[in-house]
Amino acid sequence: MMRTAALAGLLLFAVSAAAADPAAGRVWEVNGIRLEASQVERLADDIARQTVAAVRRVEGLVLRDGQDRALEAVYRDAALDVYDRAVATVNRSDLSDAAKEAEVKTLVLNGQRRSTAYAARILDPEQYRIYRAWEDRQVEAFEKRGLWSGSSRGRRSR
Amino acid sequence: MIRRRRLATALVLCALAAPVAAAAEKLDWEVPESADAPVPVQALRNVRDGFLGLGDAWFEANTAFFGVFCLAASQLSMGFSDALGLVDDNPVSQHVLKGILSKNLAKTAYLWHVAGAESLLGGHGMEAERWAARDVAALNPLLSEEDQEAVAGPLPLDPLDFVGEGYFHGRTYRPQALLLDLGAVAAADVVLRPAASVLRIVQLRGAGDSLERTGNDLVRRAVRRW
Repeated sequence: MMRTAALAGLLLFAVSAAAADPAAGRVWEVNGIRLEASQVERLADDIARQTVAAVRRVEGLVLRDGQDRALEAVYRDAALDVYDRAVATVNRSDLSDAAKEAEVKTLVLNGQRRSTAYAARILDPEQYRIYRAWEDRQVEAFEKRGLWSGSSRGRRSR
Repeated sequence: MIRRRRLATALVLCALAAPVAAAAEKLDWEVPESADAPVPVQALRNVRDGFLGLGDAWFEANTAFFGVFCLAASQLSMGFSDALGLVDDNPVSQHVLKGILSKNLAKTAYLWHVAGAESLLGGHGMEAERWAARDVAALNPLLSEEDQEAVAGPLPLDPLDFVGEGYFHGRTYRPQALLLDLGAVAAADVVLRPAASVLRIVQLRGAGDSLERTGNDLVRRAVRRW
């Protein structure tokens, strides 16, 4: 039920060409609420920043100057790319909810693999080994749980 | 003749109301407008958006100032609750008084807090973002649930921050956050956004939009600090 609600929410994400401002880039519409390009970018920034914060908490992994900013840029691009594709997928009328969820999960995991490849270039071999071990655990947990299992809709009304 | 005209009017109104009713489920207050409108139309739109922007800034300033007031009242109420808790909820008195006064003051503090947080989060573009933030963050496998919550922002606090066990509920006190919010709202809604509206009215749309974004970002950054 919760998953269906969340999927229905994302279903209404619609990427529209930002006709009013050609330079504006992405504009998403979420359940009828339009997110302007600047809001989408801010959201991606927040997510990227929080992901770096999560990486910083990994035991034994200390990021050096510049590595955090490089990772943040990678996560930001990955987030925008994955969400654009996810929006396009959930807008498809030829897929069932379950198929859409599976497809979105695949998109997310593919995006994660791409960001891993970039992380390999940014981190030292030892850092990368620790990063990969942590990442594998996170991805495994993600694969087991539903996409929106911990959604705000289910736990806390924000 | 008059009856026929009334009937025609009613039919037209029904026809107009149908798509409106269909769209009523959405919370979308954006009105789609063609980007390639003739220059005079764009100029009129800029003037209209300038004046509407002035009104929006005024309303959002009121809501945000009210929010700061509520958060201040919440912290004051929580202060009384924690202080009284030493009297009516200490290891001895709790068996007699059961912390009735301090508990109810803490509940009141939480209600003020929710009102304040919602008032602040309900403007400056955050009303849309916060709605999407957590579900979008949930698509990142590297983020834990706590991280997803962090993306959504610190407000509103959890009820247990107010009524959880303990003598001092430290997370509920952030007087510096109130000052920050107050300053940001004043700068955004009293200076930057009205200036942005004036720029739109004088046909400097790009500069106006940019200035408005700066103002909203300022408030957003302040509200996300707690």
